[in-house]
Amino acid sequence: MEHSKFGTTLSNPNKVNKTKSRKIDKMVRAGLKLVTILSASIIFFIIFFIAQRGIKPFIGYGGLNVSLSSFLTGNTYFQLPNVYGIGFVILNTLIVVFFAVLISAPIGVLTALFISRMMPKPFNGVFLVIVEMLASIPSIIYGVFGAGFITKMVNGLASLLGMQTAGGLSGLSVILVLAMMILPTITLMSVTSINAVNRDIELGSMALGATDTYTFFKISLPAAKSGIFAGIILGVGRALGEATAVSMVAGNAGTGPNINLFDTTRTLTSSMLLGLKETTGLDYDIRFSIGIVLIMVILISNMALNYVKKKVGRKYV
Amino acid sequence: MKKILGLLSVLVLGVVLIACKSETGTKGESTIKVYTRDTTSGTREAFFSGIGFDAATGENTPLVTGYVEVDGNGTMISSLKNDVNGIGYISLSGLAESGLTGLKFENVDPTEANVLSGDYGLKRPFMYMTRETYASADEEALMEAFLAFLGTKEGIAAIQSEGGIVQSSATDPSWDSIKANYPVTAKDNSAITLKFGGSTSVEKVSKALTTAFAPLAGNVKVEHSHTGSGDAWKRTQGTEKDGANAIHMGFLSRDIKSTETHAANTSGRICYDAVVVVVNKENKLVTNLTALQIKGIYDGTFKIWNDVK
Amino acid sequence: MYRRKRTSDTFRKSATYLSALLSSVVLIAIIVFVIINGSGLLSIKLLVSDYHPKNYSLEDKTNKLDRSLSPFEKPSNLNENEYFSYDYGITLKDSKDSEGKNVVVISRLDKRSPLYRMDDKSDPQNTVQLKTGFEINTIIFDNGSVTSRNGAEMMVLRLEEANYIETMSLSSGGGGIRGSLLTTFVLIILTLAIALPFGILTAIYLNEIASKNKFNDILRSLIDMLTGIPSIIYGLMGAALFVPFSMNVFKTQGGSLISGSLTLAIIVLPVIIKATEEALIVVPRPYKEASYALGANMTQTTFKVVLPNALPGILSATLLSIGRIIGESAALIYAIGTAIKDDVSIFDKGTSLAVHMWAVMAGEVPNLEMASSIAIILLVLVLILNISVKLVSRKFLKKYEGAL
Repeated sequence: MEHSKFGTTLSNPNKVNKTKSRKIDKMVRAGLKLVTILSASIIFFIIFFIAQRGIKPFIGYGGLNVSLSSFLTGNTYFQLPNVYGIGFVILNTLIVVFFAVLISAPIGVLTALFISRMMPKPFNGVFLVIVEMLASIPSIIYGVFGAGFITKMVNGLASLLGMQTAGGLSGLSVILVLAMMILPTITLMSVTSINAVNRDIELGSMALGATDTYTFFKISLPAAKSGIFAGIILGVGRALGEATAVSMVAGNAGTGPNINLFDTTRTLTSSMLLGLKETTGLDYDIRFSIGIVLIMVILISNMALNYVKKKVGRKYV
Repeated sequence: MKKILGLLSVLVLGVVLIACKSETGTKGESTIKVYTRDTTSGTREAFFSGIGFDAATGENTPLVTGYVEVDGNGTMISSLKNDVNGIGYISLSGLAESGLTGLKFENVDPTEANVLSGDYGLKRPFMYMTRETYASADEEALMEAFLAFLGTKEGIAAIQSEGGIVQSSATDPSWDSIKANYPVTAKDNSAITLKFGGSTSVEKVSKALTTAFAPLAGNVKVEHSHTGSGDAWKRTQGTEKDGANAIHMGFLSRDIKSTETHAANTSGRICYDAVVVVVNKENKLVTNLTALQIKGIYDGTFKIWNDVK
Repeated sequence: MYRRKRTSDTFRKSATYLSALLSSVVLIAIIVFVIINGSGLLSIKLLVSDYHPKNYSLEDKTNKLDRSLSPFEKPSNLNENEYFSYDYGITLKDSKDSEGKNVVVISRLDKRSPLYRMDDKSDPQNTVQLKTGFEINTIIFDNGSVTSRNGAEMMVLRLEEANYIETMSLSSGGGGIRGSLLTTFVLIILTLAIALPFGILTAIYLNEIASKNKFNDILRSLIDMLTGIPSIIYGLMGAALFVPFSMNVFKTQGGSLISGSLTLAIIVLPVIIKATEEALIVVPRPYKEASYALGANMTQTTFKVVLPNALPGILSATLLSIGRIIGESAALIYAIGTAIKDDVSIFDKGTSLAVHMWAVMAGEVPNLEMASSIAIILLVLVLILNISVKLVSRKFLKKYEGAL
């Protein structure tokens, strides 16, 4: 707490002013504390209100209650009159995110390496700007690009391989769109981490005779491991939560799990956005339940990945 | 570096070529991809009852695995435009501009003449349902005027402009001849908003009607939010009639069910329409399907195009 | 050993170059795609017109065809799908509107045509001048009617056959994004008005006043947790809390711009807090110490000395928030809805530019061209915001280079 002990002696020796000034301070301090507590409690509001709406399908509909166990494990999204199942949806979500990260993590890390170590100073700024632009493109534009171009590409690819798609709406389109969206996230975080790697280790390695490429790959990248991993975790979080772009290329699979990547699919977020018509009723409330499941999936995956990150540890300072 | 650039440009070219690859038409060995509307759709109900597959009118379980569910007439059209192996069903009023091929049903062409004569089997009515009580007397009077407008020359022309099938005759009254009975239309009604909803198949007809009606009714504002025939009764006299989704008039692309209890004089028929089975334009393998064949496609008995050629 | 290392080196190097090139290719592909599809519709007219078309119901009060001016001269350069009426001097053509529907459009109109100016049935004192581009929906004649479904050729044929026109129903305009532009603007102002005070005051507390105890650490981590939440969850909360709030307190019918702004405010709050904190940290300690030395209390020091010096940082926080607001779609779909409006009111629904894109793509007939046009506008805005943020932070760093 900043308060110089010399302040009050030079101020007006009038006692009234001194206490008034202290009183104002106290009030302001209390007010600011209140505002901060309010800001911090937002997360509780979020959890509370979504939970309140999301629990309703399981206990508030009387005879039409949805069964929780079949909700979490079911393989058909909806059957009249009150059977919902999102087991396959959770699986689908994990599958597409896994593949999206599989594609974009190597590309992102290598791009980061390129920007921070391989390109000379004036030009790497250009690539950095490109990545920053990609990071700030709104997701709806990725969705339009996906619906207009990626689906056509996937459709063409499928007919090349002798497979069929529903106009390109498929798991593969979702994976490609997600990969495009989390690529800048991973790249930017990796750039920061690689830049922070101590130059001395690299110089040391090169002094021992290693080529620069060898140094970058075997010394710099492992040194930046934790930062890169943090970027990947951020990317996973973003991919799990992406709704708009995914809904525009996923199709609307009614049953699953959809292992065939050329088939339509359904993710947690696409279920929340697609078919949104009414604002009351079971169909609407169940989306809040899916929201709760989404929050859980994000939390669990975050914790799991952070645990792995800790285990992998820091080898180089 | 140059080698890498060369490789990359070949890759990019390949990708672009794949994307622009022209479709070569439906092959007989391809699996039939089945498209259906969601369960609140009146078109779905008319379709499945029309082909004798009542079990599927409200449930997706009897359908073949791998079905694709779409939530509107327009989405069905755009999905089928992208899929040469797809089959689906739409309203006849949308067939001409859909860019899809309409199949004959039991050897009868899907045309307005055949619907009027009764030869085409998949006929269904476009119905409307209004509210029992309104927020203001003006709103009630305007809705009354609108209902009268449905029978005038202008109203009938509007219905026909979007493919609604209705008999018109020289004795239909013009709006001018009856508008004196509805003095509310002479006022400036731009502060009032009338809300319409219900079936997506009726959406175009209903929009044409309100487009023609609004200038004649003091420029009343209209809003359309079509979400399926099931919502027509729900939002006018059912569970949502006073909530955020309440509408003044809902449209249905099927008969009103007995479970949809409504007050007297709050419903009626606007016109007739038909459901047409459609396939992608590039599909040259089928031109006619019987009810049994269609049912077989939708329940999985016939899996590939060669089965129904 | 050297040869093996060289091949693995080239492999690694090429993989790296390829990856970097891929990012550029993706960006270029998106921009090119959006420009190709959207530039056709992009025009000033798009930006200023209403989304919903204006409908007319017109009549010719004299009810007689003034045959003194006919037959009109047929234009020499008619296209294939244009049809000319000798009696009325009007050329009609078949076209498609923004939703892909077949319409009959006035492509040419002679000024002396009896149809040039007609009486407005909705306002007897008013006359309406027909212009090219108007869509004709239906025409009721004395001996029948014709609709747009019959096509331009049939319509012209019937025009020639009939004796007079009883009613003509037309539509004009539409497909514009003025309403959504205004809505986006209003959302930005309202959201910042709510979020900036909250965010700045919170940042001040956390940075300047809070002591290093467990409680404040918890507060800080609770706020940090907000950054990881996906926007659709915020949307769910908006629908669960702010929409009923807006309905009960402001008597709106369902979602409104108020519920939307409240939701957006929560989304941008962590952004503002974080950026403001960073700005506050950089304010040099000597500034604060000098202020205390002169006898100011904490309040005066914070608000009159520290805060003004953190203004550039707050400015970049604002710009970042604006970027987030205009890009947000999923949250607003839940917190407001997807009804496109032409008149903007904070107590009514509306769509931001991003939600407008969603509405035209998720609607009955996906309109890729219109979505791409709006995408061009969004990309330009995002680019301007990005550049502004960079300029502001560069100026900011320069300012404190000496004092740090």
